[in-house]
This record gives sequence, C-alpha cells and structure tokens, in this order.
Amino acid sequence: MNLFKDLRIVYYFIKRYFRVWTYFKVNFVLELIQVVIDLATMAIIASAAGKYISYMLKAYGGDYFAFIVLGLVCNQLLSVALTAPRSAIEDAFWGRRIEILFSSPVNPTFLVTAFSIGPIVRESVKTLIYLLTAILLGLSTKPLNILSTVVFFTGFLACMGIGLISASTLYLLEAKGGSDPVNWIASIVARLLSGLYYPLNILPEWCRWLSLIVPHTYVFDAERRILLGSVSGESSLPIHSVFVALGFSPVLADLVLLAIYAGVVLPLSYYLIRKGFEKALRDGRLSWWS
Amino acid sequence: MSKDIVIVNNVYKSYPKYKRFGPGTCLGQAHWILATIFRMRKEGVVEALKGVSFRVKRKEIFAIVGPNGAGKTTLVKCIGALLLPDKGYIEVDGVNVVEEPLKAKKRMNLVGSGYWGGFDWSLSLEENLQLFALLYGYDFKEAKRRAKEVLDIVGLSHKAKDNPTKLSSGERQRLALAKGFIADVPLYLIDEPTVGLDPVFAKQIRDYIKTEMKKRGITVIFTTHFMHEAEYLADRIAIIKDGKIIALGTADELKAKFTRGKVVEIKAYNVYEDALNKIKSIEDIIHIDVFHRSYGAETLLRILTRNPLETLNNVLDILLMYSSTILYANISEPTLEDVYRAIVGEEYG
Amino acid sequence: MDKYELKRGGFRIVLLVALETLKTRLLKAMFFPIIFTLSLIDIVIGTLAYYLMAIFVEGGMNRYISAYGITYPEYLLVAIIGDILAGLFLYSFYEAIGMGYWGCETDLYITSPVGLKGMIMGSLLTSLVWNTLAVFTLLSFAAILGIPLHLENLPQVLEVLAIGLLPFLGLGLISASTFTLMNAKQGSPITWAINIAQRILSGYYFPVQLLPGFIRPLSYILPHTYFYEALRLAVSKGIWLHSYYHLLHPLLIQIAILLPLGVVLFKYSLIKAEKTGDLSRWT
Repeated sequence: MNLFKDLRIVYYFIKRYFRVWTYFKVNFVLELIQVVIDLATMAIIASAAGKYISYMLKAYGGDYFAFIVLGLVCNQLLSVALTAPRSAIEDAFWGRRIEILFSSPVNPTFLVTAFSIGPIVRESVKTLIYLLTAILLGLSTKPLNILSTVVFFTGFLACMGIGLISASTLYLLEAKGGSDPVNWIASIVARLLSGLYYPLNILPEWCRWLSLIVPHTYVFDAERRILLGSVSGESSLPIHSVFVALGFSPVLADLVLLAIYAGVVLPLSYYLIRKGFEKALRDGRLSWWS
Repeated sequence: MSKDIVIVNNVYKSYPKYKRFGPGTCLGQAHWILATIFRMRKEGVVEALKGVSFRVKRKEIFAIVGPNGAGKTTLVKCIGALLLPDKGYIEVDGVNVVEEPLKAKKRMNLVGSGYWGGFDWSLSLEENLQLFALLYGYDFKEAKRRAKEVLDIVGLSHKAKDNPTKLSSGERQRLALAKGFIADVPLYLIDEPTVGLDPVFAKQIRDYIKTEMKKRGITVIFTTHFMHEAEYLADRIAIIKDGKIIALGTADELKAKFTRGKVVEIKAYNVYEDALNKIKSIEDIIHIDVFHRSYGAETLLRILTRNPLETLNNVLDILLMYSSTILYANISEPTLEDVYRAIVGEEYG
Repeated sequence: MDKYELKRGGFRIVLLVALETLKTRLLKAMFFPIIFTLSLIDIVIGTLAYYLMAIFVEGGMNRYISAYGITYPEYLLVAIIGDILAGLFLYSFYEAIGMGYWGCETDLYITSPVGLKGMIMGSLLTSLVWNTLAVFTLLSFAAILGIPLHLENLPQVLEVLAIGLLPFLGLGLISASTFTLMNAKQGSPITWAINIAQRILSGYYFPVQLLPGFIRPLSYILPHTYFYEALRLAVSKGIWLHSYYHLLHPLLIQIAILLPLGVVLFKYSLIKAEKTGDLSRWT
C-alpha cells in the first residue's frame, strides 16, 4: 500500500463529501445553527434544574451542564464512527457508483474506510462548534490530557468496529432498507442506557448491565470522571466492582474494558466486511443495477 | 509473456434466486429479520454461464454478442473481478483473477454503460476523472493531465467544469468511455461502447477504438448488440446464448460456417399473413426476417436460404398469387446480422 | 363534448387517485409489518430517552411548571405529541411533493389528466394515518408508564387541535412551495429553521419564562408557543381555547396571515413547476 497514493484518494473523498455537505448552503448553515441551539436548550435546562440534581452527579463533579455537554460531544463522534461505514457504502450503492469504484485496483476495505473519513471530519467540525459554544455558555472542565485522549480514541475504534460490522450486514444479511440489527440495537442502547442525558444510577440494575454492551457507556463514564470529577471514586457501572476489588480505579477499568472491546470487535469487523464483499461478488449483488 | 492476455477456462456462474417477500424489489429493514430468523429460502438458481471457455490474444479487439440475458455482462464482470465465478479459471495478463483480484484490476479497466456510469454528481467531469486516475495510482499532476486528455478525446472538454447531471444521455456515455481511457492498462472491458450515442459520435468512438487503441497495442473486449459494430471493429466475435458460447471466430469465418447460403431480399406492398405463412414453410429457407413499415403496406423480407434462385422464384410466385405488388428483389451475401439471427434463432415480424 | 373529456366529475377522480395513492403507500409501508413496528418502536425509544431525562431533572423543573398542575415528564410528553400533530401539516405537503419527485412518480401524474392533486391528497392521507398511529402508540406508552391521560378533557383538546393546527397548515404549504420556488429539494429550509427555533423558543422543553429576556419576544412569533400552551392547559386543566383570548387571538392572526399566503405560494409554485419542468425527472 503506497501511503501517499492512498492519502490522495482519501483527500478526494473528503473533498467530495464536503462538496455535498455544503452544496445546499442554507441547509449547511442551519445544521450548524442547530448545534448551537441544541446546546443552548440544554444549557437552559441545566441552569434551571442543575442545582437540584447535582447531588446525583457527585462522581462527575456535580455540574449537569458539563455532564451533558461532555456526553453530547463524545456521542457526536462515537455515533459517526458507528454509522459512517454503512452510510458510505449505501451512498455508493444507491448512487450507482459502487461497481465502478470496486472495479479499480484499490482494496475494498480501504475504500470503505476512506469513504467514512468525510463524515468523521464533518462531525469533528460540528463537535468543535459544540465545544466553543459550550465554553461561551460557561462550560468548565479540567484540561484535556493523555488519558482522556487515549480513552476516547479507544472508544472510537471500538465504535468503528461496530460500524464496520453494521456495514457488513448490507451484504451478509441484505439489510439495505436503511437500517440493520447491529446499528439499531447499538443506537437504542446508546441513546437510552449509556448515560448520555442522565447518570446510570437512575436506571434499574438490569438496564445498567445492558448498558455495558456499547462502548459509549465506558467512554462517557471515563471522560466525565477525568475531565469533571475524579479518576477514582465510587463505581457507577456494575462491572466496576470487579476491577475496584483488584485495585483498579473505575477509569482504568473503563479503559481496559474498552481496549478489550476494540481488540475483539475490530478484527471481527474486518473479517465480516471482507466476507460481506465476497458474498456480494459471489451472488452478483454488489450493485443494485447490473 | 503469453500471447493470450485473457484466458477463460470452463467458467460457470449461477445466481441464487431467493423467495421474494413481497411486491417490488425493495429490501427493507424486515428482510434481515426474516432472512436470519427464517433463513432466506433459495428458490433455485439462474445459470448465467455454463462452461464458457475462450482466449483473447494480445492487441486483439474481441466482441461478445448475444441476446438479452445471454450472459454477456456476467461474463465481462467475471473477467473484471466484479463477480466471483462458481467454477473455472480466469486469467488476465498472467494473473489469476479470482485469487489475486487487486493485482488483476491493475491490468484492466472496466467501462460500464448505464445512467451515470458511476460518476459522482457533486464533482465536475474533470474531478470525477481525476479521482479515477488516482484510483489507478497516478499522482495529482498526472491525474489532471490525463483527465484533460481524455475529455478532449471524447469531445467533452468544453464541459470539464460541469457536473454529470448537466449532460445528456449520449454525453454520459461519452464520459463513461473517457473513464475507460484514463488509465494505461493493457486490457479494456467495455460494456456497449456506443449505446445512446448519435451516429456521428458513435462512428468517432468506433474509429478511435479501431485505430488509436490498436496503435497503442491495447486489447479490447467489448459487448454489443450492434452486429455491424462487431463486424466493423472486432478481430474476432463470440456469440453467447443461454450462458454458452455457441460461435467463435472472425466475421468471415462465422458467415462461412453458419450460413452456407445467400440472402434473398424482397420489398413488396400488401404482403399478408397467409402469404407469409406459406413463404415460411419453404424448405430451403434457413431463416426469415420480416420488416413491416405498416401492416399490409410496404414490407421487406430478408430470407437466408441455401438455394437462393429457387427460393426467389417460389417467394415471388407466392406473393403474386396473393396479389402483392413487388417493388424490388435482390440476392446478396449474408451479413453478420443474418448469421446472428440464424444462430440465435431470433425472428422479426 | 370532446370524446377525451373525463367521463366522471373532476373531484371524484382526484379522490379516487388519492385513495389509490394512499393504498399504494400504505401497502408499501405495511407489507413488511416488522418495518412498520420498528418505526413505531423508534418513536417510543426516542420518547423514552426524553422521558428518562425528564424524570432525572423533574426535581428541578417541577417548580417552573407548577401552574399547569402536571409533572415535568407530562409537560414534555404533551409537547412531543403536539409536535407530531403539528408535523402532520408542517411536513406533509413538502413530503408529498418530495416523495413523488424522488420516487419518479410526478411524471406519471403530471402527464395524466388529473395532475398532481390526487398524489398530494393521497400523501396527506398517508401522513394522517401514520401520525395518528404514532400518537396512539405514544398515548398507549404513556398509559403503560402510568402517566394520566386526562381523557375527560378530550373535547377541549380537540378544540385546540381544530384551531391550533391551522397555522401549521399555512406554514406547511409555504414550506412545500420552496421545493420549486427555492429549488429546495433536500429538505425545506423554512421547516428546518422553524423546527430549530421552536425547540428552544416555544416552550417545548421548558416554559418560555426561562428564556433570557432579549430573545423571549421571538417566541411569540411562533405558532408552536401558543399551540403547546393551549394544549397543556386543555390537557391538564380542561381550559377551552375560546375562553383564553391571549392564546386564541394570536393564533387567529397567524391563521389569517399564514393560510392564504400558503395557498397562494403553493399554487404559484405548482404553476411555475409546470412552466419550468422542475417536478419532472424525465431528462
């Protein structure tokens, strides 16, 4: 693999993605405004209700606005890792470009990864706007450090793995109707049970165990502890107790679990997506039109 | 270096036919549930290729012709590594296509036909072609240069900055050809090169393939429905029907092998059904095509026959018996189209 | 009479086409019953997420909504359901044109003697069925969670819907006209802008009084503000809209402006599309 040649291809895909994103100028501007408005809405709710519920956020520093912002910021990027590979293939599939791209001498898995970078860059731009807006609205956190970066990056890789598995279902399960079981389950659990809008201790015990199936849970918990609360402190996830008994802090427990998650899911995802393409080539279903 | 650039040996390809879950072909969210829980039921297979074997020499222009559904596109896709054959062996420039598809793809370029030809509406024509050049490993400067060059060749340089949505269907086909010319590869696979093009530009493209590509020593495998195109361009022609190659050779070889006759051409007014039925029952006739201008008015009969003089006399007798007015009659050599229709068994009229 | 004139009356044909469009769209949507169910589940999941958030912040938010006599989760649920109902008119016209265009159906209708009326009406009926189902699902979900539905105030709620949804009809027509007038084929910027604004300004998540003073006046421009308020008062206290002038009058003014404007713009957009071929995908 020639890195410079591959980077040139990635550049073109990003260029193309941004061209599409900004093609409808009004929509583009509104999308960015929505980021600001969503955050402002949360800020108002947090300022109205925050001081009455801060006792429930002890492990995370007690500031509900900061709690929500960190959750939304992390969720933004984790979600795109979850959805980008699949939506990239679907875009090429329904746009009748997939065959002509796959007829070129470029590894299909590389193509899928390259397609996914555009949405990731886009969400990064939106995340930056999120953060700037949040700072203007009074967000206060500890400074970013290596630990928080490593935690986030590991979580991102884990989500990317799930995203590639989700993409593989396009061909393995013929799930072309806009959704697939992997993405569907992951996004429901992430939305409801990962602690995005509220801490997990308000949920029943069985829900907290269920929340462990998505990487979001660990990322939210760890990032909030590192940047808002304290690295050690009381456990919030059911599995923490095992690690705490061994002398690990909850943050370290989250990091170890994320690393195991990514270590299992990533190779599995590459295997499945290769199998998916092989099946598509065998069945003649790579493209909708022949 | 082998003298054959493409070797196709005993290739079989079939497609599974799945039970449809409902009207239309949209596979919705529910399909994955139904497919995994209830196990998608195969209703059978569609055999697209049944033991296809042939070789294409280097620098040869090779045509694959056949009726709709014969397996032409399936065959081209198998060679182009877009489909995995069930059985058999395919080699391109010494590389096994099934085992090393990426290495094989570096040696060939697939040019599709169809609505968009795989182009992105958000990029200009130039940018689309630059992307394809990058996919073939060229750097930015070289990609830009090639994109300009191929747009000149296909006569679209004045629209270089437009996006594909602004092109007419013929221009899109030209753009698809431009994509094909972008990379320096020894083999081009072209699916219907002149479909949708006006006659003037279609001739330009054919001439380009026949002269320029020949000069550059490029091997071309193309599919077409136009027999005159295959006859004009191709060094050799393969006729495929129902997944099998039923004829292979130069145009002259095919005509000599499959016709052994001549074509009797008769144009007449008021050729009715009864007269036609009687004509069709004449023994020496290999194949007959009937072209009606409008029923009962001017009709052209092209009759491929082993015994042209006797057939001519018999047909004229029948037509006169049924009060048709003969406009003209002629005996000529069969064209490749006559051969094709005789072999494939298609009849018009 | 010209032998090619339609044998039956114009409106009957339009209605028949509309019903046929409705049947086709519903058949497509419901042929895979699981898709349909999953889509309804998605609505419930989304609402559940907000409901859980509402439970979490209830302790702090209840003091700001004490005037309604309902809890914060109920407060939010009324807004969610109101939004779905408002969306019936706000999005349906645009969706009707958009689905027809992207589904390559508009050519079929445009080249027929009936035109687009039947297709648009059929799409509206489909949205009506879908939105009604979605609301019913949410109400059932609320009942399961033990949230009181205040069914005794149903007549007051119906009055709010009858009057309060009309401004959205006007806005929906204006939004649909942008498909051709502004070439907005990837979503109407007007609807999007209104949707963004209403989330923060209309009392959806919190009473308008919590907004900073300098932006509070903006909330009085949106019909959502009055609609949600009227709906909450009708649900929780059984207050009739016609007796609450400070909600009724702004709604009536908005109806008087938006409805005729929407009709005129929408008609004009269709006439323009006929001249420019904007709704045809046949190239």
